Amino acid sequence: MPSSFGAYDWGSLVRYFIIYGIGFILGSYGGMFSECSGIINIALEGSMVVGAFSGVIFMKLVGEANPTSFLVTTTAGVQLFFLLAGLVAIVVGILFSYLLSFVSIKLKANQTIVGTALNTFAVAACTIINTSITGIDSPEVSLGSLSLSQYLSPDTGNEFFNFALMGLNVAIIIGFIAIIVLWLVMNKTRFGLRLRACGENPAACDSVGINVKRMRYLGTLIGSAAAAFGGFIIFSYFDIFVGNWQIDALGYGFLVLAIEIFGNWKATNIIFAALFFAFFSAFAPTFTSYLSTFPQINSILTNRAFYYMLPYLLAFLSLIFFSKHSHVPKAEGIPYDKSEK
Amino acid sequence: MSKLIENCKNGFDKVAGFCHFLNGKKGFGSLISGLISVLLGFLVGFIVMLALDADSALPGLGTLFSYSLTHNPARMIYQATPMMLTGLAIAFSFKLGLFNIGITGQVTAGAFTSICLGIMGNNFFVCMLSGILVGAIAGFIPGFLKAKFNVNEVLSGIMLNWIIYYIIGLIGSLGLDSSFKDRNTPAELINMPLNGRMPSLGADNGISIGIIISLVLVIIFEIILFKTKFGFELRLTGSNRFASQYSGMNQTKNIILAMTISGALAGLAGYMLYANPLNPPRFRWDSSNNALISDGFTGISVALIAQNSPIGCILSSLLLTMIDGAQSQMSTISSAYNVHYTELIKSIIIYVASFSSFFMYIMNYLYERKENKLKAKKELLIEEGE
Repeated sequence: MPSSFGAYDWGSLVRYFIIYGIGFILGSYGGMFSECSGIINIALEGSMVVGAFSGVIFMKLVGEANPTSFLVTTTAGVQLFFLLAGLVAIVVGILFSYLLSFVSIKLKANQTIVGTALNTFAVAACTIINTSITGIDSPEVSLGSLSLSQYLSPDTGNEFFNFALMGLNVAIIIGFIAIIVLWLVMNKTRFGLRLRACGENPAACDSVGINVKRMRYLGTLIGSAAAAFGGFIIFSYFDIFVGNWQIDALGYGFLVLAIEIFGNWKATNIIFAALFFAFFSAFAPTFTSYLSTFPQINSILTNRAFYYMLPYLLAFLSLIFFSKHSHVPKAEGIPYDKSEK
Repeated sequence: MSKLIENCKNGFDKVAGFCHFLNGKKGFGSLISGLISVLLGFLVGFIVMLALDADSALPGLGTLFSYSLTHNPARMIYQATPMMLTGLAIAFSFKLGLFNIGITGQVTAGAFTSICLGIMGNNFFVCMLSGILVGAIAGFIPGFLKAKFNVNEVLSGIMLNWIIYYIIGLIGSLGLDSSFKDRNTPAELINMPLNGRMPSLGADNGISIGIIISLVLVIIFEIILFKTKFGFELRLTGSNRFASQYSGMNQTKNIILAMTISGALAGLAGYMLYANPLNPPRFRWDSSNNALISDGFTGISVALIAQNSPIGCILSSLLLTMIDGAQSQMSTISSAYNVHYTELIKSIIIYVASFSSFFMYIMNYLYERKENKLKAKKELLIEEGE
């Protein structure tokens, strides 16, 4: 029983911080890209679910079909395996984005409602697919039979680094690169500027020859793909190391929406906001599991519900405090119609 | 072949004309939109059933429709009772153009408070009022923030859902006496004791005074929305905010009032969910499973299928409980159909409902185009005749 906040606790704090940090930034960039183009994306939760599910089920199917393949028996192979699964997650995320963008742009549907429906749809569809594949009526997708965790636990000789780097895979590194690329795209390219313009004043964009609808399709597509990849990073870790991931995004899809607002729809601010929230999300499980070694203390500060609530509470308060300075994309949620000015 | 195409065209024209006709009648346009989304939801659901297990698809669809009606119609009615109210709550806020997604938190808060008061020995009226009051407070917060600080009610609602959920977890683990909790299942509160449940209506089949309260409320809200000044202001604000502002309507008051009323309805629904005279469900206070109760979100489906008509909420909540009732039966027909199957159908119905007004728009457009063509032809003939 650890008596102080030792290497294990610090290590897992850093580990969760990295995983949540990358996942949350990707997720909120997903929201930013689609909302800056003018489409409200409540379906980030759904994107995360389909991304995580498709990646994990891909690993399960391929891994269990070829139990002796180098993909599941060598360290380098496992990393390649994560890369492939991440690609699957991105592709499925892109396909999923059309469910939102087509009805929002072409059929001019109410985007909030579509998003709400898609969140339910994602969980239901993934569970049904999972049942029809595994034959077991359960929302749990377990990678336990592949025992991948042994290849993802590097031995650096230092206890702290061992715990901090546990579960680090190539998907996380690619996620990090993707964040830099997305940041550059949003801030330094013509495309990013045009995307923002489409969310602010689509009629003006149209008048200078920018295809507003195409930009919105692209914005939603990039957004959904990023969120799906972020979901894959977070929940593939959960599945392999925590071991009981059920098809559900645990409300993180809504948390990244809050991060996006906290970051005021600006790429740089979002990174800091996401890291802030990632810290609290990482802090809650590690700190409360540490505190649970002192059963005699029972107060609000040792209660896990309190720490889980903190990010939401802070997001809620930030909504109020930053409401005066918020730069909501002006045309957000309004279907673009050429005939209207 | 060309004759077939001609026939199809004629048939289509008739459908378009019929839709146009109904659109003119008050309320029927939304009825058609609702029906279209329900039919498409079942159609896609049926296709999924065929893909999963083709042999059992037809009996499966039959079960979905008939099981609740033939086996336990009373259960269908008492389960629909709170659903009607959650649907009404969502529909009411929708009329103002607000999406009260915080309804889950409002339902949870109302349910938790009323169960605690019930365990303390209060009667059904006190429990019900406490549920309404707490729900109203939980609905007031996003409404106030929307009106005063222009905070998006969807986001503040989502955050509030989780905050309320974890606050209940905190109260449950720190502040509640152990006599409140069921000792056999530590993760759950003991269910509503008999003194706090709704009085049964004669027969011991679970149908209670709740259904009367719900139906009366639906009718009252139909009247409020369509026959009073307040309702007119709400509807006008929902359809054209600037026009209502220009004509001097108090938007701040209307937004706060509408969200508070919506929350009160949700709180009442929360009470009714757990206070049924027959087998009320147990309330989970422990926030360890990270899952909000789904009953609030069901209200969104109810309202969307009903196309935000209060009376329509009665029908759509009955439809959804009919599907829910058959849920457990589906897995006995084929192992491929699991519990999430009905969730899938529901989500598709909402999805289609979000753009079903587009169908009506298309139908109207086609009808008007045809009419205009005929008119032009007639004028041309008259001109030639002269």
